[in-house]
Amino acid sequence: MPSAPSLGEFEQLVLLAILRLGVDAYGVTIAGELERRAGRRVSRGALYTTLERLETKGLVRWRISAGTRERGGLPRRCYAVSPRGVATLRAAREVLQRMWKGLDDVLKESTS
Amino acid sequence: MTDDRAPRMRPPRLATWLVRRALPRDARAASVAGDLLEEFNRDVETRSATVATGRYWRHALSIAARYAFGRQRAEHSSVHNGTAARRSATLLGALREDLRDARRSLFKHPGFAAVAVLTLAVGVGANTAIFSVLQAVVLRDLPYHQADRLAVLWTLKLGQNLPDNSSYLNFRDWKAQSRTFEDMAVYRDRVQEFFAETGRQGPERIHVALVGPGFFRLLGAPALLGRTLEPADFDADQQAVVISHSFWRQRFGGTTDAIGKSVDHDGTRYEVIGVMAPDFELPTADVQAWTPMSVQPELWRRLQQDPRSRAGDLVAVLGRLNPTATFESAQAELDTIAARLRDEYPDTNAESGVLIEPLTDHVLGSRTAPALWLLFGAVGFVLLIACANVANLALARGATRRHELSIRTALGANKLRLVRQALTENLVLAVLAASVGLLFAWLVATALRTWAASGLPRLETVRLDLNVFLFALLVSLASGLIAGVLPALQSSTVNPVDALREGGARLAGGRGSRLRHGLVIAELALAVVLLSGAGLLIRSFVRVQTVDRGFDSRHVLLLQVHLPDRYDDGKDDAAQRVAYFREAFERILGLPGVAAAGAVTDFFIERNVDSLTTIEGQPRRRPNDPAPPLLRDWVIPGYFEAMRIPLLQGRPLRDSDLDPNAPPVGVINETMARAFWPGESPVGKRLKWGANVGADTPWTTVVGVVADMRRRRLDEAAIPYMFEPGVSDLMDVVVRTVGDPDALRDVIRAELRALEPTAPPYGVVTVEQRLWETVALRTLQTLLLGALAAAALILAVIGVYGIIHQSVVTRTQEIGIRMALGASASSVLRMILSGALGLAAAGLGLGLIGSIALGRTISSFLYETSPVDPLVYAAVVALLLIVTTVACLAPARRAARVDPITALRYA
Repeated sequence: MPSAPSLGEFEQLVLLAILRLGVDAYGVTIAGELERRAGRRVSRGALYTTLERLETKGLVRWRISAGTRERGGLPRRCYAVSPRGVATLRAAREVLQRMWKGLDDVLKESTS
Repeated sequence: MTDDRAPRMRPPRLATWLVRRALPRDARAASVAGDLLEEFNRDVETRSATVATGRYWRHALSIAARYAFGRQRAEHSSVHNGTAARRSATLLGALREDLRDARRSLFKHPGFAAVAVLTLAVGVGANTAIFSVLQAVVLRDLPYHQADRLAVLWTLKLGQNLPDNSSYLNFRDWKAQSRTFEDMAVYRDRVQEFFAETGRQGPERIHVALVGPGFFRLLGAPALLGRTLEPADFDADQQAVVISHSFWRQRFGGTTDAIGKSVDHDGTRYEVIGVMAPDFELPTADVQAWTPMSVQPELWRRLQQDPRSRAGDLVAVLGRLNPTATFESAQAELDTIAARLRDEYPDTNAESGVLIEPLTDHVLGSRTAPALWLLFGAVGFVLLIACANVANLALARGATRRHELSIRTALGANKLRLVRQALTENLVLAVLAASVGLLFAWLVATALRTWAASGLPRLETVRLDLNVFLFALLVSLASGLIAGVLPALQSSTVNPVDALREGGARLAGGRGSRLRHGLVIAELALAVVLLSGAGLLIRSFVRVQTVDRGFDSRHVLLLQVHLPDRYDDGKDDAAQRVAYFREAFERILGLPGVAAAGAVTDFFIERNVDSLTTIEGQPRRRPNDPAPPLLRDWVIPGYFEAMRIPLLQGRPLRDSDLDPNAPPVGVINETMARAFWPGESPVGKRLKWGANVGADTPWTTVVGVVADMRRRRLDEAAIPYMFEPGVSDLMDVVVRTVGDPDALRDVIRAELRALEPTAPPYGVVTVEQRLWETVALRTLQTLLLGALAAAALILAVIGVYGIIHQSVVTRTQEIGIRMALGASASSVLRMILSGALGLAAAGLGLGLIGSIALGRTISSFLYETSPVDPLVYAAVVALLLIVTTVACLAPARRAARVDPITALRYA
């Protein structure tokens, strides 16, 4: 991918999941959202390392919120997509859209 | 009650530990752990514990793998970018090569491999078995939600410093005023006997616990099936009962339609509303059902409303700490609350404090955990000895393998490669040992489970699960490494030129043999430590077994009888109960083979001791003086005769003392006589029950003194107690028989059942059996440590044998020269044996120092045995010297028979 920070497919999915979840985005819900919408089973190891990578790239931010009883009082790390993350997502979408353009006829049947 | 649904499972600890290790130590670790826990809890609720555990492991492993590899990859790529993949490929290839070499080498020496595997397997198996017990009994959390925050709250009799049950009214005040406890609930810890009719197999006695509102909610234990008790069940017309897993399986065939069925007792119908999980074991492991306390309306009303009941001790109190509170802060808070209640209710609470005990301590008891940790330490020693043995074998083999190694070195193998190969060989051995060891552990664990019947807590839950399996693997790998590291290093020091020189292998390598001697001495020293530890425990055990019990425990059958409420005529004299027992004894004594019979409230002292007294002619106690503990029991006079308790002074109780108009009298034990009337005869002395009582309480006269009985445990000295004539609704009946008491068990039971069908005797055991159970833990500990010490001795002696044998083989030439120069066969024999005994002496020297240290640490397990008992030490020294001599006799003889001519010719 050109210019902007590069974004892997899984990273993209994670960012989108965080956006969808709004304020309630943390490990468990992100994994759930990916499982529900993207239909893929997420290895927790991959998820947490990806979240960390996104953080180093400055694409997500997090804050700590207090733990609930069902998680034994352990804190929760709630994620949000940073402005830079949103910009990167937009760029990625544009790239994809450019690449898709004109291919609708070729790919019509298999995209249904 | 949604709270009752709270998860009670805990995720596997090892997996949690793995995650925590893999993640960097910052807030991330906590939040990831929280995520995993949250999912785990949800899975437990919505799916099953197995699914939850499986998924938890998968997540944990994926995280551990990602982070561990991620870190490694990062390091690699920073140095030489892109070679990581290639490197791992060659690493794998090298490993495969090493494994192939190891397999070949071990197949070439099957004898060595078998001995090494078996030796390690003994060590690994013993460790795994003890670990599985430790895990099941000590390490595993109680099966309640966040069990480490649960506590038992005792009422503390300040004068006696004795924890006891509490009153419901005090409990209510504690609960209302405490901030450190988020919840409290009560239960009756004396399990009730219900005569239950389930309409299937006829009536049967079952153990029922009466619990207060919120009992299940507090523990966070959901029902396996149906629901637990709810507040509404405490005022409902319909009586509800929650049943245990085992009772459900037994009486309802484990089917789901058990819910809604009924259990009848004393004309009341109880509806089964829930089934608990198999590991829910409060108040005791043998409870079969739980009902609201309100099924005894009179008791329930009195507990809640009668102000005098504040002095009572009818309920046990459980509490759950706030997440922020500690047991110490809770104790401090309850101390203040108790002080406030002392001021507020001086009549009932003047002597009352509160003691908080973590539930885990209460369930496990104070003895179990240290005893098991001791054994765990001992198996560690056995494993070390096994490692040393295998290392020695490998070193000895290394000496004969120098040739092979030299060739390889000469051909260009680098040292690292040789070390790695030696280690791989040991790891292969270790994995084999793990499998044999697991089999061994399984056998031991199965054998140990049968001890569960003897009342050791949670022993029945011992099983080989994933944790145990991983433990076995870890221990094996570690021992493979330990045993392999010395031989591996040694093999890397091979100098090809020296070693290839002809005859090089024949020389007894100086450095190598010193190392092997050192190892054998260490083995012997460890074995000596274990032997003296076992010796001390065995001596204590014999002391306990031969202790004077104060009664004749042979040929006595013990039965419990619980008379139904209608025998209670509300008056003090309990005339109906007395009549029942007179009739019962008449029938029992009429049976052939019965010599005597009697009854006592509690043959064995299990409850807390709580009686305070005022003694005639002695000054009143000041509030803070500790009073000696004192127990009172009712007996039916034939008791003394049946138990053959020696009467030391005065007269025994007579049947006429049971008469309602007879003056109150009692018979006391020696310890009470000494404690209350030191230096004088207690016969004729008088006392009143209660600490500060008025003139209207009658005096009880001491009429006799009997010998002290071991009524709590065989290894615990008697406390002061007093027997008075009387009958309660719950009595322990003792029957002395002429022959085998077991033979009369059924006849007596049938006789009593015929007399009163609703009160069949239960819990029928021989007194010997019960006495044995009181020392079951000690017996088990002695047995296991004895077995471990024996294993250690055998392994160590094999080590000595091996080294002596090896030295005879390598020194054949030298011996031949000696004999050619005129040494006699007996002097050669002496030389070899003295070499062996020299090793033994060095091992003994070191071992005895260790033994003294061990003796100190285990002194709390000893009974009337000094930690430096000379007899034990002398026995250990003699045993070790004899066994070493016997083991080395064969190689020594062989040396003495060396023919100098042959030895020199083939040198």
